[in-house]
Amino acid sequence: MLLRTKLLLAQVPLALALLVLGAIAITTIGQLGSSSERILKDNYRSVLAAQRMKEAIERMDSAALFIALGRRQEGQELAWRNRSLFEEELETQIKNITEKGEQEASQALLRRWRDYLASYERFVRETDYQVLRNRFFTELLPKFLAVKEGADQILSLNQDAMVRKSDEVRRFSRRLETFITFAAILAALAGIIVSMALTTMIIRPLSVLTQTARRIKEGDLEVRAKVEGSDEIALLAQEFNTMTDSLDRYRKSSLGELLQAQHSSQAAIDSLPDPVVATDLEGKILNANRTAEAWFGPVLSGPLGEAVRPLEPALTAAIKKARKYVLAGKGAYLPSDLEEAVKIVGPEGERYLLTQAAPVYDETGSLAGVSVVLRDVTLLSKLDAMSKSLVATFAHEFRTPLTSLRLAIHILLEQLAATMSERQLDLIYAAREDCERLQNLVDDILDIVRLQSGKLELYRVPIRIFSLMENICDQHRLLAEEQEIMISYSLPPFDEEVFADPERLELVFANLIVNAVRHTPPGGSIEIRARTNRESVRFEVKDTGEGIPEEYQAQVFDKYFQVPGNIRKGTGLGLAIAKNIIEAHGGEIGLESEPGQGSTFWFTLPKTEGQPGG
Amino acid sequence: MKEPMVLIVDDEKNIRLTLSMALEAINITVDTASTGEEALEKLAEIPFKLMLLDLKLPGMDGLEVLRRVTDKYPNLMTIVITAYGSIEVAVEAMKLGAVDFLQKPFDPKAVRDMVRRVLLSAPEGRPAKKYEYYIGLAKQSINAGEFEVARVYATKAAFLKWNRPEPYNLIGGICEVKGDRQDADKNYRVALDLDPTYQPARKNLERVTSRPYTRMGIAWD
Repeated sequence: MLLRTKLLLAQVPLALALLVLGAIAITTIGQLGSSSERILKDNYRSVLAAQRMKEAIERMDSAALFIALGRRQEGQELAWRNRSLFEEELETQIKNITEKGEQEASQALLRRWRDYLASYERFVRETDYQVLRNRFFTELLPKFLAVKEGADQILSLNQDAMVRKSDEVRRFSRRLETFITFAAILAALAGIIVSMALTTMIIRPLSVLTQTARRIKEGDLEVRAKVEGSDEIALLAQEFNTMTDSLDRYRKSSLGELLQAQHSSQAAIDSLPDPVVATDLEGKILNANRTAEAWFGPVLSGPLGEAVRPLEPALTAAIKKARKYVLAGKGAYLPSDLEEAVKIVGPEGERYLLTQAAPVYDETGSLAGVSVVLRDVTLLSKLDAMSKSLVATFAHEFRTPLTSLRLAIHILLEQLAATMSERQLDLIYAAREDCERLQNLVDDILDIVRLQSGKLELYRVPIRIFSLMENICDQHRLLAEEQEIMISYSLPPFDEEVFADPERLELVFANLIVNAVRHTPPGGSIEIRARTNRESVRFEVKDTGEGIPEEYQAQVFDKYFQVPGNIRKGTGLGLAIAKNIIEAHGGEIGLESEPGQGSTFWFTLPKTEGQPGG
Repeated sequence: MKEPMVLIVDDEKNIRLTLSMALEAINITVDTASTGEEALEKLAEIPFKLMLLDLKLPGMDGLEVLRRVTDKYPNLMTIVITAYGSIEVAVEAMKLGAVDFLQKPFDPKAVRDMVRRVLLSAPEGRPAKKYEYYIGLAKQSINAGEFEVARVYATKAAFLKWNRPEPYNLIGGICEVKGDRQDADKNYRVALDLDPTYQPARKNLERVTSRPYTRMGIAWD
């Protein structure tokens, strides 16, 4: 059945109620009409008859009087006319008996009429006027009165009945009024209720659909809309269920793959020996591997650092730093320097943790979270510390023999230069040169050991840029010119100050420039530039050398790193030292280079002491 | 042979040898000792003008030697040789009477320059002159950016003339450069206690105690 038909049918009860009500009203109104008609037919006719009879009998009486007075002809005509008139009416009356007692009254009237007629016949036959008059008064008049009274009786009987009946009709119509009112209300109510019930029944599938849709929205794809029938809603429900089926199938398949992927990635991170924690942008923990839970207790989905077992402050700080780096959009934070490792005391004794962080991107490619790995570098740290102290000891022990070696070579040169052959001189120059190199190496090692053990004390003073750059250039001009390299500097528009340790700053410049000289072929040039910002000054050392392949650019500031394939020219410590010094000043250091295009090493220094070493 | 002027005390044979040769090359006569005890014996025999003393010695160490000779031989001047980075020992040695210090490693020129300077600085000179001498050395070092070295000389100067404000002002400035504001404040106050009219210390103290604090513009003198 179509929905339209159903809705139409739902209106049927209301229509039926109206029909019934109408039928009742029509019937009862008909009844009312017929009862008035009956009054007319039953009683009005009797009343009319009684009155006509009264009139006729009175005329008869007058006719009799005419006869008594001697006008026999006129009197007999009048009597004749009225006699038949009376009898007609009497006949009508006798046939129209409706009231109780009317039968008796009519028969009484008939009897009296016959009696009167008999007396009248006798009266008419009398010819003696004296007798006539006597008879009129003594015989005819009383009988006339009796007939008249009989007619009167019938009249009043019927009039009373009329009054009573009209009263009855009035009462009946009043009852009918009430009844129809009630019936109307009842019918309307019943109709509305039934129609409503029917409509609700018809509409119910829609609410079933709505509820199903809601549950599907909440993720329950098992639910189906149960709608029977063949109307439009049922069709819609069928289509809806079909859609849910395919949705369910799709979800089950993709969910399966997803679960598979999630399980394997969870298994992968669980198998890592280092704690891994994934956090969202606000620092809330989204996921953690088994190692992390073993170390820090069951990880709740709370902010990092508020895990069940509170993290050590140093570790929290390291994590914060790593996250900040990643959140600033600088990419993954992968410190290679073991100096960044944080020492914590765990259940298995001292551990050294190196905090690494990597960005997690969402499907649109924007940053969605940060995954933090706490690499356990305990063994490496211990080895590193050992090797450092070993290196420091060696370097220290080298000093004394180096001192005497240098003194010896210098004195030899002073005293014997004049007497030596050229080859002998070459030999001793070579010895001096390597002695200097050894000396530099020892100095660098001790420098970096001191720098990295945090014992670096900076003696910071305001330094004017112009004179600084002039001095730096002068200091290295000789070295550069020996290699046939042009060294020059370009100054910023205004002479400003940087707040730095002059000795260390010179060391940084020396390392960068010596490096540039080493890697620039004769005929090249080195330019030192400075650019001032609002808060810092950026220095650049630009050469026209061989450049640094991109894959090595990130490593050139690492200790002992040398670009592979090149002849070892320096100690591999110069840039590491420079980086340490610049960072201790709160500055940054970096390079831009393309192979064959030369390199530009740059670093920044704050103008004021606003940024202490970090 | 002429009486030697300089005694070199070092346990390292090669250092003794090369130092001797470096000095002899500029016509300074030397003798050597390898231990503190040997040095004391030689000092008892010969009136040396200058001793180059390595502070790290087996047995009796350099500071002990210095302690024993300072009062005994008022005309003897001592330059101590210290290892790289051991400034605190140098300060101690200067307080004990060393006139200067030499940090390893050094080259012949540095040794010769220092020896010449010390020998020419007239050992018989009055203390007041010596005081000016160290103040001068301290300021030179500050200008060269060698603040640790400057601190040693300033300390020496303060030791020689305890009632002058300049050394404390210099030390205060060095503390500030190093980032130690509290010690700087203390030293400036000492300088002002000694001489309330000493302007550089007054300026420095004002700056150190002001808000916002800036290390810019330390008044050295």
